Amino acid sequence: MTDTRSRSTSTVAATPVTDSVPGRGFRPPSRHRNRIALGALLAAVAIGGNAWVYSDLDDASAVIQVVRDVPAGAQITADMLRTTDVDADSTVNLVPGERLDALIGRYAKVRLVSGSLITAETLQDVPLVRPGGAIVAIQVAEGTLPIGLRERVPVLLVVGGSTDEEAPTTVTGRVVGLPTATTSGLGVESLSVEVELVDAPRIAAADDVRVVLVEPSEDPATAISTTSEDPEP
Amino acid sequence: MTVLAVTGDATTTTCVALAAAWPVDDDDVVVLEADPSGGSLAAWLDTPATPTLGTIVASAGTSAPLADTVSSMTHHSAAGIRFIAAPVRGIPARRAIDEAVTTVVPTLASSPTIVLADVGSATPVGPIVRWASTVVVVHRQTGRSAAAESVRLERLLERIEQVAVHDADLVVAVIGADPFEPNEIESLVESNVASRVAAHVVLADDPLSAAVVCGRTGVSAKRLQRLPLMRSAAAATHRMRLTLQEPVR
Repeated sequence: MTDTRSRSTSTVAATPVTDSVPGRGFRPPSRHRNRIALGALLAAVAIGGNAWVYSDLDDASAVIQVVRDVPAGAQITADMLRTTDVDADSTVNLVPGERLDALIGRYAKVRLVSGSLITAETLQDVPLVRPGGAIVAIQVAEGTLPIGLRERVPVLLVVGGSTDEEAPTTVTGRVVGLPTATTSGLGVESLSVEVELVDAPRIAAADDVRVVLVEPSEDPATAISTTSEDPEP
Repeated sequence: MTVLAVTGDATTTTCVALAAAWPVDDDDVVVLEADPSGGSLAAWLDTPATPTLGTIVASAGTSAPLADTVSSMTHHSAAGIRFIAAPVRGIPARRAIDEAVTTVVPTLASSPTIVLADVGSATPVGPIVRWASTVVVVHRQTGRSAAAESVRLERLLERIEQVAVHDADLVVAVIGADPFEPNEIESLVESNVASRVAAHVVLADDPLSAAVVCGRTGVSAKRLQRLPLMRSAAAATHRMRLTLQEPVR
């Protein structure tokens, strides 16, 4: 045995083999690269499809919104409006946000409530008080205004007639301002009515004016506005 | 004669690792499955189960030259390993090996092909060892305990003594370094085996590489080359090739 051990044996450690020995190589089974590529392609298509669908759903566009209450007849100023994004059907009558500057200086046909969206028909280019007309504020007892009274509706103002000697007279007019919340301790409300200029002093001086809501008719101010508006909504 | 018979533990994995790490591309290396317990490589390397060594043996009596038959029935796996498959089941495998010893193996031994013969772990070692120029005895440490490993080392010594009677260079390959360092085992072998050991080599205990050799996916060829088993197999084959060129017998 001694003789055996006296012969030199060698180990790997004694053999300088570098890491660069490549060998013949062993090629493990593939990772099904085609399937991986197909899966990645499907994932990409799915992601792209979803992105397309959801981007299509997000079809918001800028429109104009009222940011504070605007009474009928008031001239529009920049602080009354702003643009906001809404996703509305194309058939909804809204004013595009880029037309905001064009609305400044126009007049409100009706009361514009804060938060509502502007439509083209709610504004006009001329003041509500037409030439030859006048706005008169009348005070009526609380609860005497007829149901259905709205801005720009025609009304009949009945003056006098409280005694047998005095026959009542009537004046036609058009409501331009509805009463706000009652603040008077006397229980009266203030109503603004557009009347002919010649009738204005009599209405203003009358102590007892009653308001009668009559059949709707074409609003002259609106007619003027319609003819003067630009064709673009 | 360029048959390297691999016996002992983990012989199939070791044969494939050595074939994959063989340092010279020009060498024609073939793994011969001659494990009496049955063949595994066709399944591991994803090739058809046939032809097998039994098929080759059955064709030995035909008019075709046996070398051509062997060549045509050698499996070429996608992994790059060429091998002659043994029948999967043990009984036909043993019959085929017994027949091949007198027909196929002499043909292979006389060819320039380097044959890595997986003769399995059976004792006594199969008859193919008679044709081997080098016998690689593989000992894999289980790492369970020093006491348990001492028993297995006794069996290693017994196996070495069995194969040492053949006229072949002897290489002892140790897998793992726990609980005994490889140099401790080398000293043990040198002091207890009268026969001459041409080389001691160490193979890494690398479950991942072993799994890839068995067919596991998910490890690239480039990464596999960097794993411990393949690196140590490269060093081992380098040493074995030197032994083939300069026999110490």
